[in-house]
Formats: sequence, C-alpha cells, structure tokens
Amino acid sequence: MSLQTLRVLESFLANVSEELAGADVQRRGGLASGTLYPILLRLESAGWLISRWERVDPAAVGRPRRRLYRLTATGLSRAGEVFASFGFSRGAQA
Amino acid sequence: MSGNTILSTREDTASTSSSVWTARASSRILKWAAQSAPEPLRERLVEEWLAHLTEVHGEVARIRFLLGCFWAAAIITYENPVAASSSLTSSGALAKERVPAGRPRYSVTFACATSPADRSVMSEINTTPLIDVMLVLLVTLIVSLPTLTHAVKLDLPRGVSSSAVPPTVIDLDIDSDGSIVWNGTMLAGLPQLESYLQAEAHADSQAEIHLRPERRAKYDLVAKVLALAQRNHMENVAFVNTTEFAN
Repeated sequence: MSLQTLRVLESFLANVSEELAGADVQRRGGLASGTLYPILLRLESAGWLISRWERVDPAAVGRPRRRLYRLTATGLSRAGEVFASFGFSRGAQA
Repeated sequence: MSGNTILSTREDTASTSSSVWTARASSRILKWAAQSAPEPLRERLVEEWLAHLTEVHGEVARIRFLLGCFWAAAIITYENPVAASSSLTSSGALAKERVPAGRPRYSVTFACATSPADRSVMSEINTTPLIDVMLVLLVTLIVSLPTLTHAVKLDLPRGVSSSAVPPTVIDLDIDSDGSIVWNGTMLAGLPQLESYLQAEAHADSQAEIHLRPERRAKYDLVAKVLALAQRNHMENVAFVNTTEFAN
C-alpha cells in the first residue's frame, strides 16, 4: 500500500462517519488530483469506500454536485489493520 | 456617474467576463481529460472534478489541478477493471466486482477489436505512435549524453619556451689532415677529445656540438668522432656548414 493511499485513508479515519469530497481529502492529505482520484476509485472498487452524489440543486448552489465518499465497514476494518501493521493507532473519532 | 465609477464598472465587467471565460475553458479541459477515462466514468469524473475545481483557488493551483486530471484519467483507464462497463451503475458508482477467484482483479485493456460490435470507428487520436517516437527520442538522448559529456583528463607536458637561455655551442672542426679543433684549440687526438666530451657530458647543461668536418676530411675520422660523442652521452650533436658538401 502506497504512502498516498495511507494519507487518503487517514483523512477518512479522522472521522469515520464523515463524508468527504475529493477536495476535502486533497486538503487533508495534500495530494495532487492526478494521484487522489485514481486512489479514491481504487478504494471504492475494492469496497473500502462508498460514494454518492451530494443532494443539492446545482442551479441553486451555483456549482456542480460534489461526489461524497465515506468509509465502509470493510474499509474501516481493513484500514485499521493496515495502520496497526505499521504500528500506528487509528485515532478514529467514531 | 463619475469617471472612477465608470472605470470600476468596466473593471468588474472585464473581471466577470474573464472568470466566465476561465470557467468555460476549465470545463472544456476537464471534459477533454475525462475523454481518456472509461466511458461510464466520464460524466461522473467531469462533474466531480468541476465541483472540486470550484474549491481550487489561484491560477497556478488550477492549472496543476487540470493537468492532474489528465494524469488521473490515464491511471484510471490503465486500472480499468475487466468488467468496468457492467460494474458501473447508472449513477456512475462502482459496484463491487464479481471477479472469479484466482483471476486478477484488474487487467490492462488493449485497443483491439475482438468482435464485430467492437469494430466501430475510433474517433480519438491514437497516441501510441507519438509515445513511440517520444520514447525513441528519449532513448537516443540517454544513449548520446554520456558520449557528449565524456572527457579524458590528460596531464600534458609543458613545452619549454623558446625564450630560454641559448645553449653553449662547441665548434668541433675536423680538418683534412686529421686534426681535430675544439673551439679553436687543436687537440692531440681522439683520447683528448674523449676526455673533453666526458667533461661536457657531466656538465649541468650540456653544450651543443657543432660538427664542422672539412670537405676532404676522412669519413673514418668523422665517424669515430660521432661514435665518441654518442658513447659519452652527448645529446646534441649537429652537422653545420654543410653547404660546402653540395658540389
């Protein structure tokens, strides 16, 4: 698992119930878009993350809908294992 | 309306039109970037990236974000699962794949048509030859660079400048009667010449011997003188006044 993937997971583990958009993860993890989005899709494909569209009217808010990602139960468990294997405590605020 | 107000209004209008133009251009670039992503994901990625772009501030950061999207699309395409089209829901969400055990989860897709349905016209630019050319140029550069930068360091000897002190010259005349003259001094014979040569050979700076045999001098004597000079390690021996032998 790459350092960048760990950073993404760390962003979600800060608050496991929180839904994060790509921009939020980028701010927390400090990753470039070229790295971030393949990781998000990879984790989603693996079942670690789940995503949905933000429930807003783009015309009303004046911007496109954001895609919100959330850690799944599998993702939470596996991410915890990964961080534990590196000797880090998860530090989740669930 | 004052002049300042008019100027301010014009600047606001220019700024608004500029931001509109930038937003349109960014949208086009993102759509362009998403074109290389798997088709079911394109719309999702464009909307997601556009939403993200609204939260990116600064021209440089925007450009970096846009370039990153091209890279992201390329990576996503590379990692496209085998059943990408079937595993994507209508909302663009990735359903959990049902890959049989023992089979790789991801595979690289190749651009070859396997069925008549796949043999549709490709409207995208085929970048494979461009990448091939780029790689060839890159390899050529890598191979040629060490040759260009290679250098052999040599410590070359430094030449003695011609402005050095001229060496001492000894005029050695050999006459036809067999007499040998050392700088105007008549020598008794070859043994005396040898002693003179030995003294000169051990000097700090050897003198130059200018040999001037007379035209009718015996070759045998001249050869002996030369042999003596060589035997006594005289390094600079030269025939001078050789014009008299011309005729």
